[in-house]
Amino acid sequence: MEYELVMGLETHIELSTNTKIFCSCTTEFGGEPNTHCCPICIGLPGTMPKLNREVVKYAIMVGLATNCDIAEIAKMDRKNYVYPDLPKAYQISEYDMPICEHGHIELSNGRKIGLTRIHIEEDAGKLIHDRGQTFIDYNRGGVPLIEIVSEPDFRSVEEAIEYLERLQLIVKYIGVSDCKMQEGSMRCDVNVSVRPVGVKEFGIRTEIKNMNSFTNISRAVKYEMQRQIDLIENGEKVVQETRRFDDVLGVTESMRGKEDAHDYRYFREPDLVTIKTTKEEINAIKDSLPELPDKRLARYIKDYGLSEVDARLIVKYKRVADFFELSTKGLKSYKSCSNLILSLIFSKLDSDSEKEEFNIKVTAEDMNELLNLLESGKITNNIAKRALEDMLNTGKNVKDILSDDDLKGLDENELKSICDQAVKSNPLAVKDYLAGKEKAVKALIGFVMKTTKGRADARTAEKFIIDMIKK
Amino acid sequence: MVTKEELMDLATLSKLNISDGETEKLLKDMEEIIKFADTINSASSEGVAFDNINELQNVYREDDIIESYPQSEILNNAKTQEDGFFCISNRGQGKKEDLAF
Amino acid sequence: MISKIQKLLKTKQIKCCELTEKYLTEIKNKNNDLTAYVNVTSEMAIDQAMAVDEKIANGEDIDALDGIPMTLKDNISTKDVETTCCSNILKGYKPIYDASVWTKLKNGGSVLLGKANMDEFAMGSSCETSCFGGAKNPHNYNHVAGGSSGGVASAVGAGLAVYGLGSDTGGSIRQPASFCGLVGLKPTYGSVSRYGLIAYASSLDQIGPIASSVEDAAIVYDEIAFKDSMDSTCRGKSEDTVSHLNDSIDNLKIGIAGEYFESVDAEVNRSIKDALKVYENLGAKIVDISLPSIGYALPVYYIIACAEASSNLGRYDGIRYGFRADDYQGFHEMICKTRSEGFGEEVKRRILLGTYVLSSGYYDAYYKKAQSLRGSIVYGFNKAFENCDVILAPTVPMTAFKCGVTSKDPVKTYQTDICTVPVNIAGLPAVSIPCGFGKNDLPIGMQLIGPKFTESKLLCIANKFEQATDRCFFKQVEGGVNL
Repeated sequence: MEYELVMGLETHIELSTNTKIFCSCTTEFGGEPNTHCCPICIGLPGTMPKLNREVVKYAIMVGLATNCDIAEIAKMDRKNYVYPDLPKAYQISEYDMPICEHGHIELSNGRKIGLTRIHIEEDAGKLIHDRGQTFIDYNRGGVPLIEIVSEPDFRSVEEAIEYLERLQLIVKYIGVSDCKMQEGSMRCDVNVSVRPVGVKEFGIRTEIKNMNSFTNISRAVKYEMQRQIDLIENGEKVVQETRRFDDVLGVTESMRGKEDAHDYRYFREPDLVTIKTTKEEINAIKDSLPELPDKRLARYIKDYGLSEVDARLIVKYKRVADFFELSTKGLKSYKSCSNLILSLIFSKLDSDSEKEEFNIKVTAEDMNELLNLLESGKITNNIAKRALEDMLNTGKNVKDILSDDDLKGLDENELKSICDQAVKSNPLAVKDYLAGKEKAVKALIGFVMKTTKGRADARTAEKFIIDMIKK
Repeated sequence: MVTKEELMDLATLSKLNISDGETEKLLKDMEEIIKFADTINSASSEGVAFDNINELQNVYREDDIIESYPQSEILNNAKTQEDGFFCISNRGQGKKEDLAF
Repeated sequence: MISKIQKLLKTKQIKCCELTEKYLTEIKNKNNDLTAYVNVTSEMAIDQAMAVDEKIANGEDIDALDGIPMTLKDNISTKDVETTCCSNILKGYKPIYDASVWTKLKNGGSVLLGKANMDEFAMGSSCETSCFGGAKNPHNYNHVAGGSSGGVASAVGAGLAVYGLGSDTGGSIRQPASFCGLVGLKPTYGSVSRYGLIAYASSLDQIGPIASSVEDAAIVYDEIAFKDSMDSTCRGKSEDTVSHLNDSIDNLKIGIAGEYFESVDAEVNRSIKDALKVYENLGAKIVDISLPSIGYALPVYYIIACAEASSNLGRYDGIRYGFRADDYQGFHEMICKTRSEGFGEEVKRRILLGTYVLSSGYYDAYYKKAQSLRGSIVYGFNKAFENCDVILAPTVPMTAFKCGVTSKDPVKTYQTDICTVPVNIAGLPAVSIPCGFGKNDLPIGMQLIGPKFTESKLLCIANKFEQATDRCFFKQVEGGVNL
């Protein structure tokens, strides 16, 4: 029988506020253990939470960017469970009145993935198990999180990965998280079930906890899907449970144990007050949202005439896209700019994360100046390339790199006279060309470039030369 | 009424051990307390929607960093600590097959 | 008492150090029998007293509570001073921060004599669930001081402190105040900061004073009721109370709800009726009101309080502070053993009940239902206050229990809270004041209940009674510090 994957995602994203969700300790990643802590975030008896205004705002921003309804009234609840990384023995979260609901993210295949809800909550501390001992660091405890819960709308792992990439990009564009999976600022729980193709009812699902890379999500889901299919084919039943992925063995395994028998006993957090958001406040946040990646992509293709492939490559990295925006400010040379970025600049940035960081020696202002010279015909493409290469290597600005000669430009008559010179002083090449060796013209162009120190436009020169020979 | 199994489940959720000696008395106490709690069901009132006793909205803190406490103070009350971490090490002659480690 | 001491200090008729020494000596003499204090902070007290003396010597102005020797219930966090909630599980715990109320008082030059005894985690009505043993009633040592703020009441009643701060979740300030013949104010929920008060039931807990006169209670309330950014639910007082103590009570309408008197001892009943006559003579009008919702206040209270407690007490796992069991393998066993050995019987019972009423399958029948009945109780009081300014009721249906009786039957003990819990459920202010004596010369108290944030009116009305009866229901016990 053929089976279909049914999958949903719960994505946790750490918000990049300055301070934790309920106290004024820094959210900075790392640090010596237990040095970003205070009585509130280590849950000393008698302490009370103080909600960070920005956390609510950031969550609403993500909600608006993902087409959610924003709740006019929301509240915080306690999710009770005892574990050493949770100092109060409850996590302050949102249970039945989350801040955002009913959103969606559209995939490239046109399918809309539903977002059930987005809620705010606090992160737990970190446990390290080593030689029979447990070490606890609460620096991360109380860092604000949003949990984005999708509907079980994914039918393939690829859809899920695309969704995550889109979500990640949206969140980065609005600047509320760096979404670094390797640092744990973005983590996923994956719900997986299978059903025979054509069947409407969902199968019994399992949840794979704490996935921290796209590769692992893909491996885990593929393994889990096959495991469930095998069970069903053998007449056994899938057990609804929480599983973990062993990335060394490449298998999922049950996490069930007596102490994992959870009943979270949610109830309203009595130490916090109601969160009320007016329509005006929501609109103000909406107006303050930056341009989202999808919109930017459409603009690059439609208004700037970039190819979809090029446009996607630029939009994919927020910093690159911002650089592109600033570099082309007041100009029309979008294509030149994208070509220079994708060929020259990207050749210096190997990995994905290097492109993400976009740490280059050229400022957007310099790039803008360079493009301005190119657009106004003061320099040729060749010179622009050479100059940018130099700028990338040395960090010098355009003016310091371009010589007076470079900037002189070449008027048509001057170019014609040099081409004439090339034809006259290279009779052999002319002969070859006329004999059908079209490549011979390259030598003539080379002469022109050499004489003009690259200031000539190669294509124009070729045209002049051929005209002259044919005459 | 509370069964012994239910009591044990409650104890697990509450992270309490109940020894065999305690079980009977606790069962009796719980039964009586729950019978007492059950009297709310004889209330003639249907109840009135209850929101929150403090009736307040939107009390927030600004996102400004205040220096954290020194590590030594944070760890000050811990029974055991090591290299700046709170720490739990095995003690005594308990069973070996503990799931947690 | 407080203003008298202030005058003596200001006019340099007594030094704060001498006064503090007097109290410390009396504590030494009597505390072994009373167990009012569980931790006496002599050195700190003397240091604070010396600072006040220096201030006065330098001619500086002093605040209302400057130099007044006082005590704090042991669930109010005090930096570097052991704060145990009278539970083995917190033995040795020294907070690294001060509760907001204590920050304010400490900066104001208050002299902390020590931490006062209480029922373990404030769960009890006799102070006898304390791991240190219960505090005794200063009027009769065979009886309890009450609970849970029994230590504060015992200390103030015995003259071992001028006043003290307790906490009231279901009557824990008013009941011991009533048992010990004192004034106890349970403020409006949200008028005094809870930051640093070790939580029992967060939606019910309030800090308030136990004092030996209405005026003293008012002075203390004015100092501790302020808006505090550390407690999001706290907005402070609506107005000063001391300046309103002598306002007129013309046209006062006192409501009497029959429901409050249903299971009340005859001697208590009689005292309240006598008190009503006093008010009638002062020109008040007595109106009958009805509060049927009080009928289910007790189970509602225990369901909500235990539910919140089961969550609040989850954090005592032996990792970051307090007691840790000795023999364990792995953290799961460590946590379970620590909690089983560290918590007392009553606390465990309430944790289990709280877990039960919140667990899936029982949540709707208990917790959710209790919440909606909480709504009915709030509504019932609001309706009642349309017909009267304040409600007068007994504080406790009886006088102080004999020592040792409350531990035998938990439910029967819960039922003695019948008159105090409705106020906590509705978040209202109430003040208990002495209004008579029962058998064995044990004090009887009555409470005045008002709408939210009407402390100044309540204290004014209470003050009128104290003045009209010439403080005849306040009985000085032998020993203690007399001034």
